[in-house]
Amino acid sequence: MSLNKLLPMEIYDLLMKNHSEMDINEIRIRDGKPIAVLCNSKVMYLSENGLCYSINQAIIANKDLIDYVILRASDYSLYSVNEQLKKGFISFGDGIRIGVCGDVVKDNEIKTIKNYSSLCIRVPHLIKNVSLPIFKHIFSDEKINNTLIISPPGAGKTTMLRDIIYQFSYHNYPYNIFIADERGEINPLLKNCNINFYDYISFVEKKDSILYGIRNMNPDIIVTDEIGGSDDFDALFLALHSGVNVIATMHAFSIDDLKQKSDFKKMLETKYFKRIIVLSNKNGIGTIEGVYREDLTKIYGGIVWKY
Amino acid sequence: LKILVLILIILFSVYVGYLCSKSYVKRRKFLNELCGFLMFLKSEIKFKNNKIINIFENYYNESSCIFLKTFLKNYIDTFNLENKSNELFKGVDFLKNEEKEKITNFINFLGKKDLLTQVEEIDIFQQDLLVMVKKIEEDCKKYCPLYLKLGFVFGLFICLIII
Repeated sequence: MSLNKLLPMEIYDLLMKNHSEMDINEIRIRDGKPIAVLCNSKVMYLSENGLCYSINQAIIANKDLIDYVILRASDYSLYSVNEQLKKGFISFGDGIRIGVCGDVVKDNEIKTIKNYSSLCIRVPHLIKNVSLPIFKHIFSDEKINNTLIISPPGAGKTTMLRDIIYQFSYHNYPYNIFIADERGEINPLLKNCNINFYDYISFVEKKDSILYGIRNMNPDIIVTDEIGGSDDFDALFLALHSGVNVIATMHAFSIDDLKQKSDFKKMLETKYFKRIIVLSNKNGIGTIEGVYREDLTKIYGGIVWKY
Repeated sequence: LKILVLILIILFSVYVGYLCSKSYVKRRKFLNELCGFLMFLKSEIKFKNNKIINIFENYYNESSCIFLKTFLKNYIDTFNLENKSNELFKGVDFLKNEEKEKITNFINFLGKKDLLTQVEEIDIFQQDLLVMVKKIEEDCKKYCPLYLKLGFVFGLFICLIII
């Protein structure tokens, strides 16, 4: 992982006092507020003695720390991450995503963000075999089902997606997988996994990268994270018409919540996704609430995997 | 033998004058090479969006500059240090303090701005640097022959005293 390259050494040492990087899910740094850490799905605070549950002992973050993290995240080259900053995040190292808040500089379009006030550092994980309970629903009898993974934020969608890609390679299914990785979160952790059949394009909007993939890379499967908005859905329909299968994730709490999303209605009506997998945090990150068919009947549910 | 000694004294003092003039030449060449590097830096930032450390490393590995190389190496070695101003000019002792200060100021803000501001800052520093180069070239024209002549005259003066 690369948290040690991102945080000041003293903060990193405190963070790692009784925990490893695998335990850390999220770090929140707010100007003048306690440093909060989501560790093994529990909210903790960074104190002089490491992570603790008491907010009174927490170290208070300041603006210097926020500026330091942003500069480190950009390799002391802030201009080089400006396109990401415009969208409110910076990608760093092995897929760490740093959400940035501050004053937006706007002149018709967003120019940049300045006077940073808070950061949300999300630490990615590669947990092999977490998708095994659902993999047979995605791929069976040499057939790939278009699959949508839904969950609230931070419930393990991207981790699940990474492992699905890994499983294709691990089982020697020679499908060409194209990853439309808008935020550079999926690909970095896969680099060291000896996966042979995947291509990726990073930091481009999904509609453009999906089109790019279909035109240039002749993929069998397109994998993309956090779809939403009519542009993304149009691009997915294009993939369908081109005979490319899709595995995607989306923010939604449940099937009922999914039904409420007006943009998504057409996807449901056309039964685009043959499998819908619902994750939650109910029994820890990545609780599989259920696997649903295109007609929204439940075919599987109840298994839990944890960090 | 006496004539030989006198010639040696004159040659030595001329050599001292030459050494004094050489620091002007080194400064001029360093600043000229820095001008070249800034053009490279600007285009790498503007068109390739490359990161600062990669730009320094690429230029260090690929360019044929002589006087700037030590400076680039110092920057690369101290890249992650908060305060690198003391380390930057190790082995680059021929620059004036005023020049070192201007370069340090520029380096300290490098990479901490958005694209437009960063390119503007490089432009401003380039203009500053051109003024410095112009001044050092004038100084070179003025002082390099002067130091040589002074060396010769001083040697001659010593010889006259000895005689």
